[in-house]
Amino acid sequence: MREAESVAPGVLGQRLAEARKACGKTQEAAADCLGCSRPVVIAIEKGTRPASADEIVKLASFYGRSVHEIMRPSAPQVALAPHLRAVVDQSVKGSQDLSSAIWEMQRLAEDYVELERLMHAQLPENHPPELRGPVPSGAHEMRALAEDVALRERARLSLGDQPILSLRRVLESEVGIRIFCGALPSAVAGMYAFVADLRYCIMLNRKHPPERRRATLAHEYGHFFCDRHKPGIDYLSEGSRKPANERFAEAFAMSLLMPATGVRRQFREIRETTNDFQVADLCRLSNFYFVSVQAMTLRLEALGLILEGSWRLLAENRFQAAAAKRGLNLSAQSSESNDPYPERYKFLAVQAFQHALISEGELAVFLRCDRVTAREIVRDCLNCSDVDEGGNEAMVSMRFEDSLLRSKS
Amino acid sequence: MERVLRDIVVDACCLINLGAIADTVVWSSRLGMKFHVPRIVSRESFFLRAADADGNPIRRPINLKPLTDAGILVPCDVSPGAETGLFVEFARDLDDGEAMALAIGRIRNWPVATDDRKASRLARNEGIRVITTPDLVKQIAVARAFDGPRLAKCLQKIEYHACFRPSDNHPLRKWWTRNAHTG
Repeated sequence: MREAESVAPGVLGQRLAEARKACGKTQEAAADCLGCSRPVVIAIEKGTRPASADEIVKLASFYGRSVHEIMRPSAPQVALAPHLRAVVDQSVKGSQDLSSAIWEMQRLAEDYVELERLMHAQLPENHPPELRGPVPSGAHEMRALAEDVALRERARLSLGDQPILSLRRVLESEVGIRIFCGALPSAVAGMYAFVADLRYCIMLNRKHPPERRRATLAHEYGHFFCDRHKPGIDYLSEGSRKPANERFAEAFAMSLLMPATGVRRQFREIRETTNDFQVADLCRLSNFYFVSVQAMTLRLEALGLILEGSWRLLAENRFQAAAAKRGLNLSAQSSESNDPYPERYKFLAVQAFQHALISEGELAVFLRCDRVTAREIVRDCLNCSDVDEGGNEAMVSMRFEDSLLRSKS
Repeated sequence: MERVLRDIVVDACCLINLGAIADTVVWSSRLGMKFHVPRIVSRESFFLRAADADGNPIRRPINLKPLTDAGILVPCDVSPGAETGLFVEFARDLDDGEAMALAIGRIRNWPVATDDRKASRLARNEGIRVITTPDLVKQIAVARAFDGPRLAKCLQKIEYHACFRPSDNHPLRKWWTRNAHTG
């Protein structure tokens, strides 16, 4: 009668259990809600006793979930959330927000996989090789390794030694990483986890400025080389001495975003032209690579191009990077987006809607917006602006399904 | 001429469009149409596109109170048993509001007002009558005998505020375009 396959009691039970845990409810509370004993809830969650329609509706409402979320046909995924929850630092403020963000990352990853299933569009996979053996603990060796890995990765992705305009887009489309932005607590820069069914997933703090998000993304990508199968949450606090893998990820991020050859060339050109290298040049160079002034300074220090301790001096003199950039008329030039999901995810959702594989309500849920905004997104995806013969801007509707290879008879 | 439908269960996508022309719908209350809105839909927050004083785009919450006060919008719920069972089955394919609208329409034999292609397909598979926003607006326009600029304004409001226009293959697409832009 229905289009979708019915959900197996085991899968249904697993989803109900996950929804209950996500909202912090106990099995006793669920039993109270249903007016039954705890063993009945346990049996439902194990899938040994099928839940009735009335019970499903009551439990979904009690857990703050829609019935559709519980009943939708997609297969249950290998959960990211338990792995990440295990590494949450409970002492850091906002651990409840972090818990919510972990669930949101799980749901976004599942939704992404579901859209790919509906549209028969697998995410391309072009993963780099993992590091062989542990990261060396010696600072010099570790930095040399990070430099080498970043250099090879740039070569593998044909990036040359130019700044990367949108790192997010490169890693999503060229490597096949799922990158999301979410409302993480301010003290958290990002988190990452890899499970085979969902692939490598990264969530960045959407509240952080674009340069910070970009640095975090490069850092999390560094973890993909050195500890791919170990989920992690990156906090901003520097605290005590960082473990080797963290220091590797940091050094890798610096090398990936600011490749040594390119930075040296830029630096040399400035010096040859002006016979100096001033703070204004530093600001311009940081803008060129779309990194913070601090990151640029530390990179120049590490490459031995400026004196070690330059950043410390600037900080002691209360250097204001944002004000300096404003004074130099330097505007942001990167196209790093802070959309909650990748562009490909959005297009898959719009296509699924256009094929009537998902309803408008489902579309709005996939796109995390209200329905009218979802309608606007569809309209914007299916139209592009062009200039007509009279020089006026006009909207041109696009038919994505038209083949450019087959002739029209 | 087709008689005006009395009891219609409305899903969210159609409700937003009606919300964009609430004044016209209230004005048509004497036609005796009753739009039954599933409880889950009526709890959702809906917004319309609008512009602030400087012309910047904003979201304005839909005010459905005039429609409720006029007795045109009537909240409804699935009853335990068959309706709830059907609601849960439809929820495999649709979001809760859409699923509830179809379950109620199927059991109570009410037409379902929706513009959603997936919901329409599922409804028709179940023998549920489907009507769309263009059908409803045309019914009101014919029954209340209004056309020209008034009808054009009504259609333009739906296009702008609800960002809705019937699809290319909708039977009333030409009627809509003609009346929206030549009124």
